[in-house]
Amino acid sequence: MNGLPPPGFSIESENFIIRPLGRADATPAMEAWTEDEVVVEMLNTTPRRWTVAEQVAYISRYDGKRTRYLLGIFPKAESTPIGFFIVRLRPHDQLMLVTHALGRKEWRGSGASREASIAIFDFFFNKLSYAKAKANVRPDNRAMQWLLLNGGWRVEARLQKHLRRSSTGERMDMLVFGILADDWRVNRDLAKTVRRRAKP
Amino acid sequence: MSQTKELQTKRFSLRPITPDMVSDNWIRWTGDPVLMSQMNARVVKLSRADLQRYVVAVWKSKRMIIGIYARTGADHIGIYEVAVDPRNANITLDALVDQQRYVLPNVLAETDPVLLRFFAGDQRIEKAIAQVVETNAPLISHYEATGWVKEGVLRQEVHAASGNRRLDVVQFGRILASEQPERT
Repeated sequence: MNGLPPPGFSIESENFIIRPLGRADATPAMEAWTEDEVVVEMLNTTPRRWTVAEQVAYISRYDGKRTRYLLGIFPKAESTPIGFFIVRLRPHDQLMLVTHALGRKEWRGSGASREASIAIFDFFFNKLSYAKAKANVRPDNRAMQWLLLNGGWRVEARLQKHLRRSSTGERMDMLVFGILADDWRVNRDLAKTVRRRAKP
Repeated sequence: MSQTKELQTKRFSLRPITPDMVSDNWIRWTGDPVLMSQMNARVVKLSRADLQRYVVAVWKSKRMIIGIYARTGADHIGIYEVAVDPRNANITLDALVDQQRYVLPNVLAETDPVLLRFFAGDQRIEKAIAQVVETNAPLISHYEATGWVKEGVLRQEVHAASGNRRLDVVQFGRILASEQPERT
């Protein structure tokens, strides 16, 4: 199938290696990630400890999937990820859906998301010729909306009562953001960014 | 929807399609340039075996394929394809009607409410979604006229089946609380 990443691919930026997580990457260092409200909201799950065994089971769900990837963001020379991207591909339409979170709070606001995102989109737009990326964002996730809008993304739809909160059954809206590859290339170096903090 | 359930309206019946129910009409639709252009599908007249394999694949992928039939004569006049998202209690609908012989809004205005009531009631689905490619003007007009909320336009979302361009997709949503039969 055209437009799929080659086996064993990894993406490199100035400070990070971004590559598919494997079972061996499960670590006690990630156990607290799903206790964090940002990650909980993003994954529509309930706050709980994410045991190493559960991590292995979750990571295994991506084994052998050619159109769905769980990508860890690893600072160079470190073996523990600081966050992840979930990338779902529709190669026939050259379309990708991206979910992202930084599990390690101390990296938030450091510019890590922006640097890793640029590397991801360089790879999919410029190397694999994807034409469009989408991201689903909760209306109350202002930080992510700010990041996307500053990067040239547009709100394409507001899906009313689209998600069912797993803990309460309450229904929530969802915003669909989209960016075309050509627009991204124009905006790649123009977006305003927060001053980068010193890396943790 | 089980593969045996049947729903009825005044003029039509809705029945899950099994491989043995692939009709000559459906085979003809796959070669209809107007219909396929609206659906953004390539005009390739498929064989009965092709469509039977397709039906098997749809049911295996936990989607449903439901035929629309005239109650008198059992003529096959259209298809719903339904994808279920149980986690969020959503369904996504796609619809095709033989427009050489039937007027799409006249058919769907009668069949949509029955289908949505079924999902809201028996299946406890809370929201219906339709994503319609910009070339399918009759279906877009139908949803606009029947109370669906236009939730947005997904820019250049899909490749055009013919030509080197991309097409927008119009996203509609409908909360099904009002479709549920009253519970006692």
